[in-house]
Amino acid sequence: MLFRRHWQTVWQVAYAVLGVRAAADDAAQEAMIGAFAALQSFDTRRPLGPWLKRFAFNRAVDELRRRRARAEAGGHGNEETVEPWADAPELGAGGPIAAAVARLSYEQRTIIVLHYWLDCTREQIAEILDLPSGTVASRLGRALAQLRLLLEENYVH
Amino acid sequence: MSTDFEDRLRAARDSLPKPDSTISASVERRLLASLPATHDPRRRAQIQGRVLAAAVAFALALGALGFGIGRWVGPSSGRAATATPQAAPGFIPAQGWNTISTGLTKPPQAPTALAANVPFAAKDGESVWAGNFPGTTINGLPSNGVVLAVWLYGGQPLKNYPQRTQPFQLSDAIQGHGFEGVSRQKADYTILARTPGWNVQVEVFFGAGQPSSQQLQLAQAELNRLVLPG
Repeated sequence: MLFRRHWQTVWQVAYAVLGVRAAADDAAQEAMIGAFAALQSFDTRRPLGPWLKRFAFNRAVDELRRRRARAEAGGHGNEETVEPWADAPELGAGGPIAAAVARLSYEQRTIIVLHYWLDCTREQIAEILDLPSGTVASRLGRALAQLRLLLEENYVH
Repeated sequence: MSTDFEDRLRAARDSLPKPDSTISASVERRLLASLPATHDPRRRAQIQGRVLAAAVAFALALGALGFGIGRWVGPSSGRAATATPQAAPGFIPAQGWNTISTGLTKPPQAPTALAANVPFAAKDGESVWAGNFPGTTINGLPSNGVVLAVWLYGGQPLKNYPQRTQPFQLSDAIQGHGFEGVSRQKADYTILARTPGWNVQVEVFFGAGQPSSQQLQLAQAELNRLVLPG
């Protein structure tokens, strides 16, 4: 079934952006429901996976912007954290590399997760993030360099 | 050509969290509920026919085993209802309970069984017969009202669905509120279980926010009457 084949990945894309489980639940749910509603307009000659990931990424970024706006406006509670990954103990407990990934900016973190953990090609990432493929390549290079720096400088224990 | 560092990075992929099974099941049900509901009267007749056939099968199976329906009524009887392998998911009929079973539906629809000690609300209408979530019925429950909803998901065992034998016990349930638009004034008990061939989600809704021991016994008795395909 389409849902079971893609749900985990859609959720993980949302989590990569937001870093908060509850926020990822909401964004991924919206993405899945929105994508299913739009399936009739989907060109079936194209692979479905990247299309769904793009839905997830866009919904997650929308949610991130809403949370930042609420935080700037004096939002309430832990849900309104501007830097959600400060509350991502699940990833931080996954070892030094995972903890270093958690400390990246959300743009770098998303590109690392998409490429190395969700097996997206650079072309697919370009489609998901709506970026030129050259930009994806250079961001990937900078993200890797930043990760090495974080690990070598023992920012993560 | 990947470097050693990139290989180490890829090896850390299992660090990425996975979605919780409860939210996963909830989203799946929402997607299924958003599919066009069938209003074909012939389809409804098919479903009703399956319910009747299942009820007859239950009665024959019980008769063959020498049990009467009365044996199953009562709290925590500790004896699971048995079913023939082809029987649909459902509840053995009992006085005071309304039940619905979709039968063993074809994917993507999950086989569903519902039971309520109140009439299903008119607003839930036809969709309830298709196994859709009886939200109006639940939100309108009186203080002594109970609704049980059971969904079956096939395929590989899902994480957080522990092996359980029937009858499922309310004492094993996770208690919560506010399930899928249900009023937070209604209590909700969730049981996740793995049975042969199925991941089973049971939601037991009460009209009261804090059900009494009598209401829990009533719900447990109905839960004891749940029959799953084997």
